[in-house]
Amino acid sequence: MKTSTARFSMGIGGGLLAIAAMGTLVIGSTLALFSASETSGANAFASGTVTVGLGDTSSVVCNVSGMAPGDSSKAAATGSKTLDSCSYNVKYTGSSTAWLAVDVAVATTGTNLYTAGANGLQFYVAAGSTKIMNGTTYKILDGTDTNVVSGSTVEHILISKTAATTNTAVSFDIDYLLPLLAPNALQGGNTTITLTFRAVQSANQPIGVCEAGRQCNTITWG
Amino acid sequence: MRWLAAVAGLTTLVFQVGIGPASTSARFSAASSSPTSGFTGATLSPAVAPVITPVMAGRTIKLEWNPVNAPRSVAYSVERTLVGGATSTVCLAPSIPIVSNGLVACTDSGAAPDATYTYTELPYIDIPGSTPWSLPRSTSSVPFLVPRLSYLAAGSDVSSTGTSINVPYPTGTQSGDVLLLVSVSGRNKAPTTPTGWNQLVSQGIGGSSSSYLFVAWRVADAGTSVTLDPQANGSGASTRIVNYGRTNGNSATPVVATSSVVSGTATASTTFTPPTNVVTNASNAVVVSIMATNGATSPSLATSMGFTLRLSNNSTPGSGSVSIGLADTNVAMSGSSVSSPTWSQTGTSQAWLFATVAFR
Repeated sequence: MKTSTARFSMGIGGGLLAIAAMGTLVIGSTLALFSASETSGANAFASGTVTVGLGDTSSVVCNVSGMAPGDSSKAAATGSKTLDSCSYNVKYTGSSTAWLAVDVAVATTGTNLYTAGANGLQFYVAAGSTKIMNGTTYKILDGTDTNVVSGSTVEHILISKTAATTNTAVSFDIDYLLPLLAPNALQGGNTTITLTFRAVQSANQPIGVCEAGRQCNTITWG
Repeated sequence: MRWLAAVAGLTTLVFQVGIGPASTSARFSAASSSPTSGFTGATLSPAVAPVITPVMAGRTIKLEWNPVNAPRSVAYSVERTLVGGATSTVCLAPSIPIVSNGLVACTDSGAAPDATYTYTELPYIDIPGSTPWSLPRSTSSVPFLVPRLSYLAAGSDVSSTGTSINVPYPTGTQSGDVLLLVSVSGRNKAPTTPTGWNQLVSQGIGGSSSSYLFVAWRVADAGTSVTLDPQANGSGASTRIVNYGRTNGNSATPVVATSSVVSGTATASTTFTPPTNVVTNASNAVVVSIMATNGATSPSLATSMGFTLRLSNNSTPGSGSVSIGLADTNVAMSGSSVSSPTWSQTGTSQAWLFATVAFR
């Protein structure tokens, strides 16, 4: 029992002593006694970038006037194949990996040389082996050929299922043909075509069912 | 309780970054648009197809009009319409329209004498296999009566004081053409009409304007020249043959188309209009006005009255000068009184010799 009493007494006494010691330490601290501190290293957070720029090779802007039935550019399927092709050379310059796509806008002011039919102006747009526009059509997500409508932009045609890395170059070739059977009503008509090169981060958004050369609207493009 | 609150706050933060609305509505992205490429179709200029002007050229009808321009070769579809009748395409290969001296021209070699036609043309961009880009067809030309006879040429001038001159037929003369033998001398004396020729006019003036106009005609034979004594002596004479050829398709033998040839003399003056109009007695006749003086200058038409000047010449075949003028017009209606043109001479005025005849 004693022992236990003594123990109890010792226990109580020791506890009081400890509290006193702590009180002394606290009192000593406020009185600028011995002390020390440690600061962690700075943690840095920087985002990746998604940017696009011009390619290393100059682009060729077409300004073709006086087109007559049968006229076509050098890489067109048929026709004279005597006129210069157009090109749009770009480069992905961001640090993050990215999905690349292109928008196609065909438009006119006045009589339209492009009729969205076989007898009007045809466009052959490609990025390497990936066909973007074939004559008057593009492919939607399931691969169905769909007419490009003048005045309405076709958006987000995927260029590749492989995410682009920094300095990935893309060269868009635009060839064209005015068929021999272009009707007389197209005389003096005009048409323009504009491409918009797009990039979006590939991280955290898998490409899913999208395929190169088809419209890809199942991911977020910005 | 404070710890619990701190943990709950951290959970909320993670939710917002990882799967909250902000993360699904935005991704890092970029875009860049190309310069716009433009394509313009060809046009034809002017926008209205020019009207055809038909004219006689030799034995055929020459069609002329202003060219149409385009970025590519322009061709023309030419149509002939018989007034009140059918339409057909003319100027086909190998006689397609071509540009010459700033005009597009082709020949309608199939037109029939005595017929009246109008012509139209349709310009188009000539690309084989294409749907032609074209302008609307031109409006019709003025109606054109195809004459039976048309001025072809004047033969070489034989200026001589000789008594037996050989006057050549004009190059291109064909049997059946109308040949006019016209001789002007500075001596008032009539030549003898050569064999095979028919005298039309034999008219002289004495005095200071001494001169003589002799005109005969014939239907061309297979010959190539005629021999004539112009009776000019030292004064000399200027003599030539004028050919009014039969147009293609005309197989009729030409005849004089007036019951009375108009001829005469007039006193010296700067200008002169034959006072009597010739009256045709057949349709589609060519009326020829001839004048001569012993002046030293070539005459001209002061007022054409629809006549076309074919010949204006001055020469000094002997001791003096002679001048000659010849003009013609085609007259559609039989019985027409054809207004005479007004002739003009420069320098010292001389008396006039004149004649007006008609053939068909």
